[in-house]
Amino acid sequence: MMKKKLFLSLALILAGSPFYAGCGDIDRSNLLDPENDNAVAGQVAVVENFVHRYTSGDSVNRYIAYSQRALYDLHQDYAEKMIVLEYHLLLTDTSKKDTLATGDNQLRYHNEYNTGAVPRAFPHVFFNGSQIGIQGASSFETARQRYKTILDTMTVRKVKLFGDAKKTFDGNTLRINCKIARYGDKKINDLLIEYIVIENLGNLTRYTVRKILPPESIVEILPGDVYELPEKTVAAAGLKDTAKTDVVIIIKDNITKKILQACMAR
Amino acid sequence: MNRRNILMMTAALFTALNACIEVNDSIDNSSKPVIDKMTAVPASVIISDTSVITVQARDLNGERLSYVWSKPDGGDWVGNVTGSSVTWKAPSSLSGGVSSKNFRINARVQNENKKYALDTVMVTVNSTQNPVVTILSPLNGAFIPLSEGTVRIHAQSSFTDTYSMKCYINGVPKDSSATYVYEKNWNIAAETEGTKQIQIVATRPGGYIGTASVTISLEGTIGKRK
Repeated sequence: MMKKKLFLSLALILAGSPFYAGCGDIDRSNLLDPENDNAVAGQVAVVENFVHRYTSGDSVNRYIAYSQRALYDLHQDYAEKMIVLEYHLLLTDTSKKDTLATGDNQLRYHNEYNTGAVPRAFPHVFFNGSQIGIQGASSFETARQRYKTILDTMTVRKVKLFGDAKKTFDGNTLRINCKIARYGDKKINDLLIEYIVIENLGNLTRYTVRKILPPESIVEILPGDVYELPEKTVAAAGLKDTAKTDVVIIIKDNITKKILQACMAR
Repeated sequence: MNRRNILMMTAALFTALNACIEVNDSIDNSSKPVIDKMTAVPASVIISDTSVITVQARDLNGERLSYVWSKPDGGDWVGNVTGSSVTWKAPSSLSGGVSSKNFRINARVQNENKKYALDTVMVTVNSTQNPVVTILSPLNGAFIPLSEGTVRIHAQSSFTDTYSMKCYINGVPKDSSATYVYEKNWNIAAETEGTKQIQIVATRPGGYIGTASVTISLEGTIGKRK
């Protein structure tokens, strides 16, 4: 893993990043400036929904649909404060296929999110890691209210981490560049950075997870530093429409696996 | 003055006259006091307990008001019974072996011209012999995924001589236990999603009955069940 610690001035460090563009001109009271001791960023809520779609019959079970529609509706309200990911999984009833299901999705669900504490059943929605999960849905309204209660609490928080990422398509290659700023006066250790490629495939497949890339780990980021991760590349083959493809960068505590912050590559 | 102005003036005059008539009417009515509110706190007591009854009234002419209280169904007064607020004490037992009974308290509010207004409030008196049912599981307002397969319902009565604990789901009898504890699993595998009310009714010797209920929501899932 290539690690770059940048000791240049903030304006130089962040040149080329739309979020930080022109930072050299901003005063030190800006709360997104890592050199400002009081710098904070709004907590982004990552909502991971484990679902199943009967592609064999091209139908979506109503419980799954309640959950998805509730999250789509909430996403309009929370906008950039919320990131939705939809992982398709297979059922134990193998007669009901889901061609969007992947082995990586299965591993993620069983190894990290539902390790057996509750039965395997969908929709199963997690908020910023495996600690807060909601399984099942009885109506659009109920699902929306339950999710909203959690999102309201989550998105008012301020955190000392900020992520900024860019994606570019270079022929058949998707390139991802990411920087993470550590705010405040304390360093942070043991971070895990996950890259998840999602694609909008249309109705009730709006945030379909298409690829989970190998994660990166960060030993520590000192207070006021901006950590630049090595460029990540992935074959874009298999993606249906690059214009509808996004990359989500998740910053996790490598020990607890709790999601600390996240951003969308733009 | 054109025809339109004459019409407008006539309408204005008519409106003003109407307003005067309404004011005069309200003056006539004000000879009778107005009761705004009558309350019993608490509205439900156990035997020998007390409830404070208050009547809020006003006289539109500003006359002094007097209060006359009555308790046609029984009970006792505690302290002064001439003001706008009195204390009523429930009887020490309920006749007829009933577990609860409503008691009327009447107030008559009178002004200096002997015009009066009446109102009544009801106080429910409960026998202490009624069992108190506590539902320990599931919790009220719980969301339970159907994938759980079963819901453990656990309730108990405050009296150990309770001989029947009946369980109802949305008003439909489920089953019962013959002791003061009800602890059974509810198979929800075949249930539909949505709100369900679980009610437990406890009965003890003497026909004393206590009840409690919780409302939960069954959340639909697909996939493997436990």
